[in-house]
Amino acid sequence: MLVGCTSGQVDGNGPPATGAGAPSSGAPNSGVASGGATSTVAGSTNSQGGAAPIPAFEPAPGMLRRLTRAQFGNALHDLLGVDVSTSDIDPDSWDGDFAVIGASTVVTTENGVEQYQAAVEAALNTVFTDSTKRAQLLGCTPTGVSSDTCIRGFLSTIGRRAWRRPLEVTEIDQLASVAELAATTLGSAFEGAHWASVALFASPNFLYRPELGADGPDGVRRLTDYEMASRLSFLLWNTVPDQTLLDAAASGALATAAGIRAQVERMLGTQNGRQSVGDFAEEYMRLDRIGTQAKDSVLFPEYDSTLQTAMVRDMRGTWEAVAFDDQQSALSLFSTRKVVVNAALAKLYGLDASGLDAKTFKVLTLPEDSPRLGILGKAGFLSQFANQKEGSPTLRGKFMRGALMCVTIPPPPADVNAMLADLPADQPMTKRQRLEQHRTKPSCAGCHGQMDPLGLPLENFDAIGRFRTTDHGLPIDPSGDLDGTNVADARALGIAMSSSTKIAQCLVRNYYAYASGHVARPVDASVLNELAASFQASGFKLRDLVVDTITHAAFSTVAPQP
Amino acid sequence: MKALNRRTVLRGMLAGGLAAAIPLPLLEAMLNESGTALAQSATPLPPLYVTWFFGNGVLPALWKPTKTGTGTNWELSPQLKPLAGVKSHLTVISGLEGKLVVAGVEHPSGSAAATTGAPLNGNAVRAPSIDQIVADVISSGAPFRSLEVGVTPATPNGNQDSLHTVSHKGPSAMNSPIYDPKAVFTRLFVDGTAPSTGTGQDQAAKLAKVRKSVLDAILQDGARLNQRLGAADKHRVEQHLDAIRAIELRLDSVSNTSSLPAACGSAKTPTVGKDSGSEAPPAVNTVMAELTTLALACEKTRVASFMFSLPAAHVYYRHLASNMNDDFHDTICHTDPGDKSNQPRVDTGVQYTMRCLNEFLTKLQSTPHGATNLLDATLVYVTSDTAWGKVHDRTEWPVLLAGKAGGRLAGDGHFNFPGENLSRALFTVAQIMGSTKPDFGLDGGKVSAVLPGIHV
Repeated sequence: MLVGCTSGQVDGNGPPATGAGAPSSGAPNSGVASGGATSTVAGSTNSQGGAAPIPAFEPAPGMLRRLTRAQFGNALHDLLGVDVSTSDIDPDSWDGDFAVIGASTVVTTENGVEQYQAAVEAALNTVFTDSTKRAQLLGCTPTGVSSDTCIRGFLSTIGRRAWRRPLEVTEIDQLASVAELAATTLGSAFEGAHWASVALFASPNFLYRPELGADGPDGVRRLTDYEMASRLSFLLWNTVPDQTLLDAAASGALATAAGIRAQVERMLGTQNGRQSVGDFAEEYMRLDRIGTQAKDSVLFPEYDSTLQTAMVRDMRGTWEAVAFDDQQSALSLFSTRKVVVNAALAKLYGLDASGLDAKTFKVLTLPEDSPRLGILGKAGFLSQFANQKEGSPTLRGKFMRGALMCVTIPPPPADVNAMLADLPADQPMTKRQRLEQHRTKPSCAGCHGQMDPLGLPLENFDAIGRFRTTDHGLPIDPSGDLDGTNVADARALGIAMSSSTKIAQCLVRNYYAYASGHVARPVDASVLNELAASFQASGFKLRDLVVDTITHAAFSTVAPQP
Repeated sequence: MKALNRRTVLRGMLAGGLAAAIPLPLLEAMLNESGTALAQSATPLPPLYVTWFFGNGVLPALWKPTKTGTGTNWELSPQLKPLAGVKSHLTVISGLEGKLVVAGVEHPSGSAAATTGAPLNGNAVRAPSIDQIVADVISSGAPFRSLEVGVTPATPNGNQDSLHTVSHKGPSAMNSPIYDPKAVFTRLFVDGTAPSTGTGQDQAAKLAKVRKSVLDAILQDGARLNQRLGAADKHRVEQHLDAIRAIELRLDSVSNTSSLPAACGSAKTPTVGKDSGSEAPPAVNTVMAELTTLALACEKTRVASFMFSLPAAHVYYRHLASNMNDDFHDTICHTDPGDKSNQPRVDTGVQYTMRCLNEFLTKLQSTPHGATNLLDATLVYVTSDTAWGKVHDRTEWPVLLAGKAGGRLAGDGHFNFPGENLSRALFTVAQIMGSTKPDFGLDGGKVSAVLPGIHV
């Protein structure tokens, strides 16, 4: 059993339920009040049933966002052709429940800065000790003096992508003088280029993304063209812009909604474009946690890095497939039979693994009557909300209620007696039985009643997501409840969730937060409502939600920094 | 002769695979004749500081000594027994209450209460943690402002910063623990150090010169960026630049080989790797205790946070006994039958935790420092994220000060302050370490009075 409503299994996950003095807390959980049968996302209803007035939209203040671990890795990969281990980089902040939001407040501490320096030096060491890679990167042969056109041209070209804007002459001068000093001191013009590159990639201009805006002639403060290019690129590709996008910024094409739309369509059409949805899913579903979790190696010998990698790819790939291949409603995520598997994950799902190995992935379809369905049936979800030995209906249900349904779970009353009767130690019990007191004791049921009935249908899946029919030798009862509707099992739960408009509205709220880089505020209500309406009109198509969010005027406006 | 003794002691200490000869940088020439103060200024050696943190609390009825007092007037409780060898250096503070603990988020709010004395703001802390407040007072001039290490990364994986570290430079400024002993070693003894002789030295000096020009460029970029930012972001960039300046200072000390404790840089990489099974293995504790001791002994830093286990650690002490292969947080603390004095598997875990603490304290004690030893010179603040894990009890918070802080703690005592705010312990620690701030903490954690009788 977990003890009381105050169980640490619960409080260890997700946004805090309390928000006193905490305006930025709990993105997925805050303030959704569905207006009855309407599709209102952010409006609220008063006790008389009338809609409260919706406040006018106000732009959020400009931000300085640090590259997330993923963005740092992707950018070095794209610009230098070097793969860095992002787990060695200062951790992302999840304040706001997305790394791309925490990025606007995270402070890089001493060891964090050392880790950036070390990663950048290591990456450039890899490039400059390999004459082929070096030649590819430079494209010319440097002479070692600061006036050298080779080094200046190189810095200007790579600098424009790395810093997401043209470098000023003084900036090129400064980097070129680093190159000259290094070339002279170390006796090699290549060493000059090497260390100037270190200065370029260890610069705050690479590591942080200013999105400060500038006042337009109409008095409206908008992101500058280059800031917009950077925002589009990191949002859709999770990496630095390409030349085409920077050229669009240079030409002023990103100053209009039509110009932005054209670039968004182009970017979504590339292979990287699918990742716009995959990267969102990775943060929303907290797939970063998978690689950090240990499991009991006796119970789950198959839980290794190959399987963990596959779990991430399966979840990302399914979101991408629903958005870009099926072009189906986002809600079909809960009922899709698609899985993206390598041999290890196919085996875990009980599918034919022929033709697959550790690194070969295929999109397969689960059997028509599969008890496993949709993203909630995926190992990448199930294994995460579990400890080393068993799954947690409470944690699974809490994530579903909070992040997927945008419902705040109230904190237990401060004076609750958290002491429950000890359960008999010598008698096998199912998890459902062990959690019984949480659903029946009034002081607990207030919050656990909102979590456990969502998680209990997933009891057919163990701590790494394998299907099972017994728990401690006893048959599992997988029945549960979705907002008053009984569901027989995980399959029925997935199907029920796939017709929930509330979940679609919650998705809008979360994608908006992810795209705009800040938690949805009361003054975002009108924008959220518009996006929810267009999302519904599109048949809940994820790709449309992406395009509509980015081309909304709110996406490009910004307030001055305080 | 004294230096030779230190080397000998260190040689014996380095069982975890570290290299042998480690002379100490606290050079004889720098000390007065009795070795208690710096020779030129007669300034007493500043005390050193460590936060030693463990998750999931204790069994309060087995943790709290029955009698208060000093010397023979008090006796170790069952859960403090593993520390018997250093009883003379223990100051147990009982009765404190974690008044900032919030229902539903007990572990993150308890962690913040016990280290920052302030409530959470969303997922971030609102105030710096005690180690960083101490670092503000004593770290100036040290190569590293502070060191953070962890024995196990086991975590409930929640979003709150205070679940992932107990060292915060401020809001959203997490000093994340390093879990890989090799990475700790590299940070302290490899980066920024170099061969001290011959062509290697020449090349190192050249590289240091080049690196400095890179760092200067970064500082200038940062200064230009800062002109465009509002106050909050300016502060963020400034902290980044402070870290760059710290790297620069360390490069200076490389160029100046006369002050470089050369053999501190010739230690060998540890052979023990990171805990990959979330089980806090003894071998990782041993090597982290060695590295932290070395960091203090070699004057790499004066402030460290040793996270034996994180708040609400989902740790599996399966190496202790066959019946311990369960989630210590979920299963053992929360669901094992029994009360504050009788949850046998919880006791097994706490006893192990205290044995691991004892290993660290003993290493400090056996490492000479000036005329005394590191345990005499250091204040080790030992605490947890909750009092009793089963129900997240907030009363009888486990607080223990180990070491004598250079004579500012008497040691060998048990003081009871029933119902007093946990923050008062933090404020007392800050004052002992030389902070002149008039108060500590925020909101319900704000206090402005020390616990009487602790600071000698």
